[in-house]
Amino acid sequence: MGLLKIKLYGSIIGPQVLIKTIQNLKGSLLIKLPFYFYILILISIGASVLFFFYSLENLSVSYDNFFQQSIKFTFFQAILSTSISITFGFILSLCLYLSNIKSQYITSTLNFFFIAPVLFISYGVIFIHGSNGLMQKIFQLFNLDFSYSFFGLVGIIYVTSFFNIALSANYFYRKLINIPENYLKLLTANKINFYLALTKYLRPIILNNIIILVSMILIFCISNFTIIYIFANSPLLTTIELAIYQKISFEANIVDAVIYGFIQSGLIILILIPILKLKNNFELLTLKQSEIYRIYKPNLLSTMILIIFCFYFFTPCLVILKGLFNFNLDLLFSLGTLTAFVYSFLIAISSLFISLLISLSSLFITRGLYEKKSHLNNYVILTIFIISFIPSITLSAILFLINSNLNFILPNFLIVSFINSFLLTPLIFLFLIPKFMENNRYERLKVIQFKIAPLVRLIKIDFLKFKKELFIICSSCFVLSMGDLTSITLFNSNSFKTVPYLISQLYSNYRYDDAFFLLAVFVIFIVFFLYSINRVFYKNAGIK
Amino acid sequence: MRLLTLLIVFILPTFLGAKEQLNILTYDSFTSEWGPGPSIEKSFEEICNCEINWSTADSSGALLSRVKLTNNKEGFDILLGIDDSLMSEAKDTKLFSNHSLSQDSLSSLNIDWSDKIFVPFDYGYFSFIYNSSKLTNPPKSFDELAARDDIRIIIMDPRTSTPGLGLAKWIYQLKGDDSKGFWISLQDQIVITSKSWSDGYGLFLEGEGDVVLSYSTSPAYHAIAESDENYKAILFEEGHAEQIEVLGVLKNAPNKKLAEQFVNFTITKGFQDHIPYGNWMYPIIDGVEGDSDFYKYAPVPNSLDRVYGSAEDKALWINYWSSSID
Repeated sequence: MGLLKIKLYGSIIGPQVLIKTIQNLKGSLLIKLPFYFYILILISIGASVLFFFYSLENLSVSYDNFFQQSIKFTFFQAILSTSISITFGFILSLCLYLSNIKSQYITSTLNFFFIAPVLFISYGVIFIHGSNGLMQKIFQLFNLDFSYSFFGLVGIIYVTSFFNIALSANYFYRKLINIPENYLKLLTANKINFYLALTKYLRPIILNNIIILVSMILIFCISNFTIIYIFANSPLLTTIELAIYQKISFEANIVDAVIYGFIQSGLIILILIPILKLKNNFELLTLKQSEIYRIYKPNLLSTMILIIFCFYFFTPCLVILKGLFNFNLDLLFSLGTLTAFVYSFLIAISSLFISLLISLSSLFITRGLYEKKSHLNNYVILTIFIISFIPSITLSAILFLINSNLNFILPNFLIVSFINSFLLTPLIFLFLIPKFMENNRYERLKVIQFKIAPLVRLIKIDFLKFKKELFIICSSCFVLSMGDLTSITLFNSNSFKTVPYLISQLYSNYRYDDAFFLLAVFVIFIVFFLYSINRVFYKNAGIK
Repeated sequence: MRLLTLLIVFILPTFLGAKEQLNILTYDSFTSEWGPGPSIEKSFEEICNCEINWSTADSSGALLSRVKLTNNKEGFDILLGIDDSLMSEAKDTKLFSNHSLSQDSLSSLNIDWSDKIFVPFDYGYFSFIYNSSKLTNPPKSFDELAARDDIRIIIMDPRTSTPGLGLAKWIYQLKGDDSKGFWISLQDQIVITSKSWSDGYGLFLEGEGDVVLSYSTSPAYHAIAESDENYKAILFEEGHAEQIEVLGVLKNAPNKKLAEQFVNFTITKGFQDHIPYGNWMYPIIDGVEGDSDFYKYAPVPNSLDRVYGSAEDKALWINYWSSSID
């Protein structure tokens, strides 16, 4: 239809205009469209919320004791978990740096633990540390009376830290392996041992920009939902995110839910101010990875610590073995399971596609503004991050309300994809921006000199620059989207379920063997997927 | 002309053969393959020339919330699965219409029922369940339970779970204005307050507690479905609070006639036969299939008077609980 229109348009106005139209299409407008579309959605969401509050006859919000407690607990667990994650992440990175393990294996394993489905780790921890868990069985075997419960604050911190220790260890490890070889040679030439080098000379390098890592982990912990849902054993251990879920799901109180969401968003923005202050510092997350120059050797202490961390990280994975022992072909090929896999797959693909379009478009606009030395690029970055300030449960509630006013014209599948994509977009944006901005001034000169169209620049120059990073972040986002259990808790129906939701359903109905089996299949699929991506697209360059 | 012929051949039969759709919103476990939903669907579809479309919410508490949020714009005909403690709140929404069952039909039930909007489909009694192989001397009364510091209790949050609210009601029925004090004496032993009954019961089975708030019918599930007779209900001398699960037809139901037909069907054997072994609750008519075995493992306990709590009552019961944990 579009081509037909262009043909008609060309026959009436002439070939010159037609060529110009095509050139315009290849131009910046086409690339900017997804971002404009994203802005339109943001405005629509904002307007709907404003209209909703405007149409209320009386606005009363309940700030009961439970909500006040949830604010306190949200920050308490977030600060505690962040402190633990940064400290232990740092210690782990040092031990890994001293070890003889290949850096490729280290970074890919830490990457996997960071993006592993929350359900997998949570159920894995229960399988090991629950009252009927493996550890208790071992204690009973040796007649040791050592009972403990993992439900409550201990479980919440243990599982939350799991992901964030992996993230911070990865971050510090990358810093360590990127210390220039000459610098290390200079240190050894002056007979400075590792401990002294670390405390005196390497510390500034390692701790540079640590505020970004702290902010990111804090935000992850504040937005904690699934872990709190599984491990909280008391109504006093509730985060704002869970309080919002309760308001929507059980009290049908969308006003309180949205206002709670705004309170949480405001608090997250306060935390994010340090990131926003770092203007135009695009070297945030990725680092060039060189071959490690090994001068420091592992010692007994570092090896012992590494063994403890291996126990911490790998024991929950034993739930996969438990799952495989409960092999159930009927369940695997049942209509429910197949449908859940198809929906998980479709949601992951569509949310990835949407977030990729938006993030590439916004990267393009950011670079254009940066090249023009315009301060507006900060606002573009802000609009990309603004949606991640809103708790996903609140966002789900708002979209549910909008869809309800539209007589449910939008299918739940589309809404879940959009919510996931909005949360993935900032991640893709952050990950790609260093490569995207690389050599931009030189490139701009060449682009002007050879009159290269923006679309051509994006495909033939930019894509080649960030191809590897793109595949890595896309595969990670795909896995994150597949394993998400947030928005689906509000939008599921009998015919619309994802794999994590089905697993949680089986688990809730005490079909533990089936739940663990499906979990094992799901995790194996994810590992295989990540491995394939790694092999196909990142074979010769090591993993970042 | 060819196009018209094609339309007649392919599309017309679709319209002619199209079955009426009945949209039912219920809680998750009711429609699961191990719940009563699939069998009930089969039985009803045999007599109605229709198709049942089930939609689900996490728990019975979330059902009412969903229709309230949207004013039932999703087009459900029936809401199935709220309990008697939520009936008053549900009526306040004015989203439900009166049912067409006659008083004669209601008098044939094995429970007293006269409500004009909601129709019961099963009932049970709240009770604490324990594993007799682990807990050999269970308490005989609520006071004894509160005094036994060696017993770890799992309950549900009354704000999010109907059994949780049922416990709050039960304690209020027994203790009245002393409920707060009783809750305080119980709090030391409560190790988990879960969001939903299924979460709490799952944690009990995982060994996280010695007793769990559930129904007096729960042991029947373990005995019949799992051949495990170790699980037993603690039967308190002072009596147990009752829970009646109900269904109601929505005012803006797209297919009201079919919805009414389904409501009539719920009090017949076609529906009730699947309740004891599907939903593991007591059926509301006598003489259903295999009920002797069921009642053997799930004897009916002493019942307290039935209470239909208003929104204010509900707030009061919850307040006694919440003030004990501040």
